[in-house]
Amino acid sequence: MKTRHCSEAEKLIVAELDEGLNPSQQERLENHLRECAPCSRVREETFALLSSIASDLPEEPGEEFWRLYNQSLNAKLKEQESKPVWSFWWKAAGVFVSAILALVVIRVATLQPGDPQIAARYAMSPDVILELEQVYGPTSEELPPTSVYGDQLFSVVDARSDDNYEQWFEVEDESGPLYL
Amino acid sequence: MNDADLLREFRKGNKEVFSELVSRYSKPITMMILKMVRDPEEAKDISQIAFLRAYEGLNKFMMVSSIKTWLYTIALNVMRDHLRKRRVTFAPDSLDQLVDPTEPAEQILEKAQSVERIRQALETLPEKQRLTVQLRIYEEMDYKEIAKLLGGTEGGARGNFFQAVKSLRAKLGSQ
Repeated sequence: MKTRHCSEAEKLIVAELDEGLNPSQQERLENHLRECAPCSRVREETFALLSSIASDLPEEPGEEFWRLYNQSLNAKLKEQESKPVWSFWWKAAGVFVSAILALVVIRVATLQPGDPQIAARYAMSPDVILELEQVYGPTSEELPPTSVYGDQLFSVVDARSDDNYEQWFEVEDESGPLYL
Repeated sequence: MNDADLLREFRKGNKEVFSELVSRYSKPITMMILKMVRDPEEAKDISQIAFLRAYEGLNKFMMVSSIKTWLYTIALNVMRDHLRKRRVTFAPDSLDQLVDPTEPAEQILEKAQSVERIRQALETLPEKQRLTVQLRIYEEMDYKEIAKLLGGTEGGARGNFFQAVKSLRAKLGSQ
């Protein structure tokens, strides 16, 4: 029957064959093995098992294998060396484009019809600015009258320099409020 | 020039020194892999992928471990990925070298069958236990090194070895 001593002996057997035991552990194990036939068998089996694993080694490849190894590794290293700049910039560009696309998708998905920002963006589009330029001229200092473009109502409340078109007008959508 | 000097040179832009690292470690690393995958061509491929990754990552290597440990860790990770993608099957020819042709045929067969059974039993062990046994027996690494390579503690690695031996004995005893 397996006892507490047998469990300890099992650990000592593996340790003995693996790293060795100190004298007191060795003595304890030998004393137990003298009285316990099953544990003596465990020792024999463990020894046979570890020896079999240790002897199951593949043959070392010959010189030709190592010559080809070095040759093909050098070729692969050279190939890798010649493409990192491209691959880095392609990867960076891919990440950048993906991030922009993700932002656009998220923004479009979260916009609701009638959202003030849709009207504001529409009002700032190049088409609208071109329209305003054609009607009022790019450097007009006068406050132009309200104008309708598509289904949006624009009233230009300020006239500044050419570079600040987006600050030229307020936008009113159907719900009424004005947005800068 | 020691490994740390080679690393410094590499970081200065002298990429040629990498070949020195290859000549120091390619053989032991490839042999370690070969003992586990049992196919020289596969071992070569895995080992080369490991060195290509090392070449790519050497500038970012923080020296928290030795270059040797770092290279072995990369190689083991590449090998683990590889083995997960396809389960290892052993070529019957690889048993040839274990048997002595002058032995009686019955004995040769028995020996080959026994080795095959052990290999199959090893394959059924959890990955960490199997690698612990292989690194301990084939590479003669101490448990501190094994813990560094596979993660975990020295005591944990020792425990993995014990559990692996116990499981192997149980598996082989029940056959």
